[in-house]
Amino acid sequence: MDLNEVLKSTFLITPELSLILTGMILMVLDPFIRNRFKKELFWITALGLLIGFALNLNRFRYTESAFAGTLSLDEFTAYFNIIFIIGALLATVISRDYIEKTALKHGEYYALILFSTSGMMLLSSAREFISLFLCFEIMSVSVYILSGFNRRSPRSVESGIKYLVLGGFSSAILLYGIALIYGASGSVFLDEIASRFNMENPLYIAGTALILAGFVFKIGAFPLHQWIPDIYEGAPMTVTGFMSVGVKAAAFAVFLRVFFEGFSTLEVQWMQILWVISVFTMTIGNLAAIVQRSIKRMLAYSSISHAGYALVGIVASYGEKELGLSSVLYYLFAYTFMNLGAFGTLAYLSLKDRECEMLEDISGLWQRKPLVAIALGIFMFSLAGIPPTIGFFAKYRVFLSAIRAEFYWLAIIGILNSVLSAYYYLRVLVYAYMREEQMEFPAPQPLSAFAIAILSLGALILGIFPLYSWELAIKAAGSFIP
Amino acid sequence: MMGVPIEHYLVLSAILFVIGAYGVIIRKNLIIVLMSLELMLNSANIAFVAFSRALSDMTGHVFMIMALTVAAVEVAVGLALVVAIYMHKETLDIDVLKMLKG
Amino acid sequence: MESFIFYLFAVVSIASALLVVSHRNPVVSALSLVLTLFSTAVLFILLLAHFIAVIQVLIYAGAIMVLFIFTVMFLNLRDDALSFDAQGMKLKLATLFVILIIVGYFSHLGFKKGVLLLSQNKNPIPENFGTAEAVAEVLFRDYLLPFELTSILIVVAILGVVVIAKRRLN
Repeated sequence: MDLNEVLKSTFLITPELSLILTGMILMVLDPFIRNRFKKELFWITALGLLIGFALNLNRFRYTESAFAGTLSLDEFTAYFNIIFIIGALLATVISRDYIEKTALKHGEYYALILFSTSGMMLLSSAREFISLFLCFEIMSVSVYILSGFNRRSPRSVESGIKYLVLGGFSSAILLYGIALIYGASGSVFLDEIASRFNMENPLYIAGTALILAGFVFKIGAFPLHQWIPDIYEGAPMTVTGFMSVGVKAAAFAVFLRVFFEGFSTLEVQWMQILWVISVFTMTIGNLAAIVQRSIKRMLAYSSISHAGYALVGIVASYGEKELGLSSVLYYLFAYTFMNLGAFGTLAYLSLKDRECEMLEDISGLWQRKPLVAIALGIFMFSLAGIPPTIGFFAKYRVFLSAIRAEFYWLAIIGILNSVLSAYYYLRVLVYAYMREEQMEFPAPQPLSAFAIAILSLGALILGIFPLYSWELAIKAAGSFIP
Repeated sequence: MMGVPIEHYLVLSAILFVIGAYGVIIRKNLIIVLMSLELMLNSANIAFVAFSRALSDMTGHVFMIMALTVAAVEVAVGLALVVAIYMHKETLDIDVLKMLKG
Repeated sequence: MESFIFYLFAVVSIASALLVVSHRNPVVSALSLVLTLFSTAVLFILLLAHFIAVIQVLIYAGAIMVLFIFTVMFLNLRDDALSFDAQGMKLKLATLFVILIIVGYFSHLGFKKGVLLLSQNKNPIPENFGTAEAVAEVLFRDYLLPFELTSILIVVAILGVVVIAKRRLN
């Protein structure tokens, strides 16, 4: 790689660089700003994210590879980057008021969100295992720190350390799997691994299995899902929203990239495993969510079952490649709006020393804050998959692709689960609309309210007119299929 | 050709990996859990370097350096969190940290 | 001679790794971890990875271990703070031995087949294999991006440690 190529590649990753640079600027500025004004660092963060977003839109026009094939910058990457940046941007908007309420540190928080997002963005484009592993770690380590960010709260620190230990365990497994694949193929590039794949060699099989285990952990699918409720419950509310959306989407992106590009020779085998995993993930997530009294914990379990629905799309892509893959991509896009919205609303309703997380905490919401109650209603309808929201359209596409690919049982189990899930989502609304007020609600926070309005309008309008965003998902999936 | 067959290095790395994984699972002292994580990452490094030798390819060495950085980062952040949790609870027992049910 | 050194240090590293996961006192575990990492460095020299061996001693056995021992000392753990972890260790170790024998057997089978398959297209070892020069050439030419990514990773770690471990809890 000569200097010219390095320069050219550097220009190609300007969206990621703009985030990283903004993070660095925040770190430098932070000590010079008086405490009173620190919350205004938010505007710099938002500016950096918006610049990244704008630069990323360019990527829909070309497909390039940068750094000697290390990164592949195509529509798939661009699509996922949109998800990450939207998630990060809206999460920071809501965080600004939340941090102010809970007296956390502004500068470091935003910087970590930016670094984590840039890790996700690079992760979705990485086609080589060294960069892939490092981006994976940049994303994960930032999120471990964010989970433990509220160091005055033992719960938060505890969730941070638990996340670090379990996440470190899974990355060690992933690393060992990569070592075996490297040993068997002599390369760390996905295309070369695919071309040298040899079913006779046990190292390939073992390596694929270990890498699958590493990714299944990050996606939060059965049987490695037990960490999710604990860690989601302990982390600060906005962080939970951010990681339930961003980390999950990034894990799906890298999963698709690695398994479809690198290990497609073994497709039949891992698809069968995924079938089983997705059935158990949906069902177990749903059954556990039903009995929860805490909304935060319920949403954590429901995020497990949503990972299961997205996996249905991956399995369906075995028969219907394009439809299946684009339905997964679309599902993750829709999930960003509805899940971030749900956690964002809870963050909006949290008080200084008490997070709004139990069902009782939101009773009487309709009388006191009707607009927030309507937004919460849209998010819950969307999560339950009730028309005309975005969640309905996404689920419809996933199950349709499963039926087209003739996975009838999978589609039936998925639909049954989806019906079952309506119970616990609607129970939240019963408390919000029909019960008397028990707790006090915080004062209005205009910026957060604005973000929640965008999320709920997005979930509604994109549900009524889904075609444009669906086209985008099809284009992204098309650029990715070899 | 070498005196020791390369698969013996690899078996050693697999054994160390399993010891590390077992340590993460059975131990309750957070600091020792972090050490067991180090053992796991270190065993992957042995595998990388051994494969590098067998393939006469330097990529494994580069990967080992990166994995080492990752190990250092995880330990630094992990120990910081351990110190923070100790300030709250005066214990390092994973089981006592039961604020989160699960 | 080479095989004698290999088996000696392999046994040392396994024994000290077992001590890491089984000993009650974190200081002893930390010192055994140093021993494991150091014997790994010796194995790296046998594998012609000279530069990597130096790095292993400097960073792993040096810097990371200092962190561990510093934290153990800093927390000043008393004996009763450690006793929660000592029960049933004999049984657990016995289970571990059984697992290790099974893993050793099957991984030996698997690796033997795998290595056999890859030795069919074997290149000769280049002259400067494993030196700092060779590592630098690959690192800065082919894997420049990962190298830069580590800098972000380290920035994240510094930021995190500063945020989390500051002394004052208001």
